[in-house]
Amino acid sequence: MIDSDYFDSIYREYHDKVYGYIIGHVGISEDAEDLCSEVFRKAMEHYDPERGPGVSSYLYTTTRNTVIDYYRTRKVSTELTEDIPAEGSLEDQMISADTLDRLADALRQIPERDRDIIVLHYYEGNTLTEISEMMSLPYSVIKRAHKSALKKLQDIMGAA
Amino acid sequence: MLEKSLKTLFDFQRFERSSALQSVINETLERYPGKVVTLADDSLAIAAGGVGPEETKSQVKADDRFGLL
Repeated sequence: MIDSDYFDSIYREYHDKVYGYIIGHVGISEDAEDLCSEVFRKAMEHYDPERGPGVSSYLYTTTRNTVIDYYRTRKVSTELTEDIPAEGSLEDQMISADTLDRLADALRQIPERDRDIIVLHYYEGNTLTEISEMMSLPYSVIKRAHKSALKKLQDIMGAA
Repeated sequence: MLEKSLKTLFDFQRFERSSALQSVINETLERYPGKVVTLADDSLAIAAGGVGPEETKSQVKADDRFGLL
């Protein structure tokens, strides 16, 4: 169990982020408040700042898993959970504000169309077919551009 | 592998909200606004009762600050 003063500071710094993430997925404020409380309850009981990931990464994964469990409990359509990445898809140490800034920098270095495809596909959740319609471009063009964008990002972020 | 990493990072963005990355995202969304989403019946109920993703709660209950009671 972590020190109450430290927990207090975590709560103040991350409450809005945790709640904002939950409400964005769940959409029901009453349930979001309950889930938010649950996330911080878990953090208070289990988070160890001396071991494991940083607090941001820990709270993000705890929040994400709490939302997934919420969907499973309510037996909501699995389509809703498809937007939430599976656990273990990225090393905990890669989940950091610094990595997000590096991604932003890498996206700035690729062509605008490729950048838009990446954002529309991975942030907005549009399929490549939907993106081809949005951009008024053939699907084959979008598919190639997507593959090219991934390669460029891999090269840029791998070199950074 | 990168695809899964990107999915996780963009989901993490919804939590951490890097201003640099959000700026990139916002520029794209301004160019391509109004995504049409087809909802399943059981998610329509949730959407009907939901609120916008930007709503956050900063008011803390004085007698149950951490919601542990």
